Amino acid sequence: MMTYIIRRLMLVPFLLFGVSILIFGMLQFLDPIERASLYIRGDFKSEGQIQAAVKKYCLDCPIYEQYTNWLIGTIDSVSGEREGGILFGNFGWSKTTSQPVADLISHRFPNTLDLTIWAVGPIILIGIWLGVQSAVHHNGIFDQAARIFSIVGTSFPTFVFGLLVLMIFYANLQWFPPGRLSDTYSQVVRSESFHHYTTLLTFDALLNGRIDVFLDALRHMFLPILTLSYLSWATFLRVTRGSMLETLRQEYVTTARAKGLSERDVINKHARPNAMLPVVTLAGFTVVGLMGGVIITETVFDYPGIGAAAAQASAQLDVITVLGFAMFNGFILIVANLIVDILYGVVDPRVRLS
Amino acid sequence: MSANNEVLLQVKDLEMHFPIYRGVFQRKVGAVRAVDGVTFDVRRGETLGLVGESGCGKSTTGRTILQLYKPTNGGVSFEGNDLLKLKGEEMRLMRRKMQMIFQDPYASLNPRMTVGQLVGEPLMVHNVATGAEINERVAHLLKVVNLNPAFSTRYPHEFSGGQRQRIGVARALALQPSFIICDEPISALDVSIQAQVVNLLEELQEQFNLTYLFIAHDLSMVKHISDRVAVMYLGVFVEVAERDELYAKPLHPYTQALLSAVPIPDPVADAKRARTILKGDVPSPANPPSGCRFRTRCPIAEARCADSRPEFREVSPGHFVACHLVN
Amino acid sequence: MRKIFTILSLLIVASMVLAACGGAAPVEDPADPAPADPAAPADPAPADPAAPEAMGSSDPTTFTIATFGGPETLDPALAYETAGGEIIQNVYETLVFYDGIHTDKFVPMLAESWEVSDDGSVYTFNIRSGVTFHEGQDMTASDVAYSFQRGLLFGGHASPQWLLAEPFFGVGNDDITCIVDGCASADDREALSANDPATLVAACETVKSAIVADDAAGTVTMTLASSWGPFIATIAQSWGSVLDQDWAIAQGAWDGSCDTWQNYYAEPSESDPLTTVMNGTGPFVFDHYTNGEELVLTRNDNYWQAPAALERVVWKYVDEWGTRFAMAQAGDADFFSVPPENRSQVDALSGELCEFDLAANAYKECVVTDDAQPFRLYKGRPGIARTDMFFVFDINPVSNYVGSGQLDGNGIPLDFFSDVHIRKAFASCFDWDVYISDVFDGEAVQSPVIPLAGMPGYQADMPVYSYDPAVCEAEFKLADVDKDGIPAGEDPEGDVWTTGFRLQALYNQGNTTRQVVSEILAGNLAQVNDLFNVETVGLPWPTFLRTLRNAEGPYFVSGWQEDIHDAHNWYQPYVVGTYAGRQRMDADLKAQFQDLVNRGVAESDPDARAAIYAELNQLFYDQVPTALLAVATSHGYEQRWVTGRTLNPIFSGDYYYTISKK
Repeated sequence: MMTYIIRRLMLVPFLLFGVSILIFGMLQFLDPIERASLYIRGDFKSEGQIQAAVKKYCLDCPIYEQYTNWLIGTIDSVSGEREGGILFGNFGWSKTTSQPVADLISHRFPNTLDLTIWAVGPIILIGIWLGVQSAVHHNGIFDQAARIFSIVGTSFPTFVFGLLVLMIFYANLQWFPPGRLSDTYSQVVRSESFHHYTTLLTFDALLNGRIDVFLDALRHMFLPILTLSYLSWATFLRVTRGSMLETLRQEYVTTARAKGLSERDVINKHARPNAMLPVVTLAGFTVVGLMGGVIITETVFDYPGIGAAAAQASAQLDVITVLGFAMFNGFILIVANLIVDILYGVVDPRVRLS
Repeated sequence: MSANNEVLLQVKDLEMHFPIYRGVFQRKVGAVRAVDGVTFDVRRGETLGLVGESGCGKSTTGRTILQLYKPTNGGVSFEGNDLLKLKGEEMRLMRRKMQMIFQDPYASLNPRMTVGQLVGEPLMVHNVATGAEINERVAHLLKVVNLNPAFSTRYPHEFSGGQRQRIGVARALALQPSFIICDEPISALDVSIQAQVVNLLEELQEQFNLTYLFIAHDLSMVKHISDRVAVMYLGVFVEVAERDELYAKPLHPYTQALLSAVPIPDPVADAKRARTILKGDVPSPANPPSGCRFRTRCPIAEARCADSRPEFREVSPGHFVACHLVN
Repeated sequence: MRKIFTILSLLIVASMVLAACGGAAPVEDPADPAPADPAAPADPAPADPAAPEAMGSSDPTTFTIATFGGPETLDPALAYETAGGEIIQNVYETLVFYDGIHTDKFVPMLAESWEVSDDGSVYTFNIRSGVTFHEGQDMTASDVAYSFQRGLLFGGHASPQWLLAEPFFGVGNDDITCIVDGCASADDREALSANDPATLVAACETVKSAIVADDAAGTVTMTLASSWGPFIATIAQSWGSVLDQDWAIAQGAWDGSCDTWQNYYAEPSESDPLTTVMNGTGPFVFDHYTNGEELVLTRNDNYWQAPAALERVVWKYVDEWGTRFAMAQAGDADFFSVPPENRSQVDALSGELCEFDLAANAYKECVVTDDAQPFRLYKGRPGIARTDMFFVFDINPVSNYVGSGQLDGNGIPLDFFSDVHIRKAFASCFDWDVYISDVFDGEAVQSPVIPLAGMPGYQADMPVYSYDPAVCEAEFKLADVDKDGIPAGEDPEGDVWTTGFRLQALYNQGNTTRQVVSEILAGNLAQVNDLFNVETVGLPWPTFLRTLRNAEGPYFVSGWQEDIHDAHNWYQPYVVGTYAGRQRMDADLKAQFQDLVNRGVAESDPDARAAIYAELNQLFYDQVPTALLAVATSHGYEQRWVTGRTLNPIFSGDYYYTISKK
């Protein structure tokens, strides 16, 4: 197991290298002037700006040189300081948010992770529960109702559903506001006395003993979670239900019944765990998707995660930021896939990790 | 074989029909008559072999007896208790006494559980044993089925087919049942291992005074182990007799056809004997032929066979047959 | 666990049911945030008709603005966009500031008073005493001088410093590099540093001698290259903000030495130490900026005037319009940006209308239209930006957008638009009414001249081009594209009228204004003569920018938003600066314009200046190098509990010192 993990981890740099080559290669489809224009916001004022950008970012250099510049950075001729170089954690400057991309990611990612942690429960557990119940009551009223309920969910475009619940629960009822925190609590969190132990807001709030801040944070996360959940349940329901029906037809389920297990034990101890394999895959991808930032949901609910930032950067052709996010997402994806693979082994002893 | 006359299991007019639903509104349009009126007894200590082609309803009969399916009609009484009347918990407790060994040693063991858990679980759910006692019992059971007790921490996929089937046997034995339905326990195994398992089952029968309903799809498999043999065709019994009687003097044309398909060890004699080759396919159990179920493939069928269903009658002591043409 | 499942799912199902029942709520069809929000509400804070009692804000001391796109930089020397300008305008202060709603009247701010020499080239400012920066230090004359010197030496075309460079270094010298090596190293620090050190020091000394502080007397003297009409207007903007010298140096800004200034030249905001920190003298203190999320200012309780009414001003950067709309409806946003295509939604919720009176150049008194609705709507005031159609006199030979590149009916020659009759024909074939109704939903007015209403040079009665197919046809027949001396209408060998032409009009994808302009032209030209083919081509932004820069398009549609509210800021780019350059305007025409522009900006007598500009306007009308289109009029909203707003159109956003909520 350990060897397997180490071997997989050793692959990470190579995979990231591949990702970076791919992304970098795609950029080369633009000519130097066109790429320089990506560094200039809005309408430009002078020729010098373009020339300076071409020169500064070495946009007319050979590709390998540009790539190494991007990888290890360049030494500024005047100040003697290193500029750029993702190997040194410098992902460049995010024009859209006026800060280094690395700062943007390190500031935004905890928010996304926080949302992921709280959203995973409702999405996955309820999704699985719906699927299991549907399978157990195959073709019964619960099954039909759950399927209709969740199909309605999948057919909603995210932002239509998002805006709908926002209009109802915020604009009209004012129960669940968008954003991250109310202004009052945002001041608390920014104050000296509030310690950022984990950088995850909800956990920090609890560790600081600020239940009010915690509740306010949850209040702001409710609608994103509701939206993400409702839109994901159909998928979980379908996969879990199919897998459960398949499993319930297995001989060992009959065996379990013949043993004299109660129906509940038959389902919970024998059928459900065995039906989880495809669900683990789905859950893995769902979690990876959430961690990569959920663009539309974060944007609609003004939730400051990396999805919203990536959307903003893409919309404004902020290539440097998009590149940074792509690399970061590549990393997340690779690590999350590894975790999912390891989880397989836990869920199914037949899977040997070697 | 210490068959006595005490009736352990009594099956009367058992019917198991699976409904067929069609269309948008899932209307019931018919039923698969998997078991369509079956009556027989099993005596304590004996082995009743149940033979028939695939799809004839023999496995369904076994499962319906154990109430793994809810029968459409008829009665099953075990040690005098009407199983159909037992509710949840009572039935669950009754399961201690009646167990099943499955055909597929791969599919019938939960792949996520270790051998110890698989064999020990019945002990736990029935509160027969707890804690360390379970481990002891599991070790003992594994020994009984000639498996190394150290295997109890392994998963089923680490074993061969024969070993797995013995795990299945150990599991079935765990609660010390008096009655075991062996649902084609050797069909999926290599021929070399079949005898091993059959011998084990016989040994265990003697050791624990077990009663078997031994289901198989051809007569050769049950010849060795059975005291009596029943032949089933398309949801009904066509012939039941003492083993020797049946093999020596099969009365029903279907039994005769099945027997003629059993190879005999002497190749010369085998080549000489007359064969009854059945034509056509088994009709659909959703739409069985009128009158005698077998008439569509019967070499000697007459007009009356289509008109009325032959009575399942005792033609000589202990020998029942359902055929108009047998006297 | 199962219980938790059940309870959770029941809760969620229940909320779904609730959601379904509340179906009457409006479902928004969100659109991407518009690239710019034209026409912010403007002008006189009208007598505020009392909003109903019930409509009070929940938190009267915190003011929230829901908008999109945060500031690029908070450094006043570098900020050149309204998002940053708005923050700077409320945190930093300038020597002089706009007088309320007036764009051309000024009040003393950090300067208590000022004197101008007779020739108009020397300004002496008496610096106010007793003003402290937010971090506690006293503001001195040296701080003022440092701030201006740093700005000029900072330079770079991406910054607004060209607006100050011209008055100090002379017309055309729009960057510090122009007095080092004739602008050769503009925007290029490496090239600049390669100059002779003595030259560099000399340039810096020039700056230092032009801006001299006398701390004892409390004065700052600024010596301009020549008299400069709009100088006061220029320094009233955010780039005239006063920094604390010691604080700025401590942060890592220019150290004040003439030996090192080139190392700070054209600093991009990513490495500028003042990008995210602020220390001003204004009514609000910079609290924090969480990039891309929110920016918070708090009240300066030690302000040298009476403290502001608001305690906190919070900008929430919310990209999605539907979300901003929800915030407005929930009462959590006091101001909110509304993309033009979503105005009808908000109009329906506006209970008070304040309309601009073009003749009086002021807002009429606001009228309550529906007391139950929460928002106040301002509309009708012409904005300070315009999109126009610029003809390219000498198209780049590499252009792919001129068809065959010849007058053969399948293209245009590269000098097509150097023929004045072609330009007039195009202008006469453009339909302003269709343009205003299609692009602005009727909310725009045609511009008669380059500058805006109220400026010297503005002539409301100037003749304008309008859609007239007959004139269009006549001008095409007067053109002599093949240059044989015979007008096209009489040319026996054939000319543009008989051979026709084909050209490709460019726009960047998603920019509907640019697209519609060309589509209107294409349709009308084809009506006049079916041999005239204008194809509209959408290009990705980078490619479009390249065509602009290289003069590859036959004509381009581009916008100008004024930096300072002065005619020079409009004439300069149009007839001699940025746009004239991109149009590759004929040299002799440009020279005529240059002369008029130079005389106009130097003239400090308003009437004399207007006379010069009138001459320029006539030349511009006759030569029509650019078809002037229309200025959008305002259409903006606020919560009805907002009071005391100063609607000065030149402001970057708002000035929150005067605003309060009830």
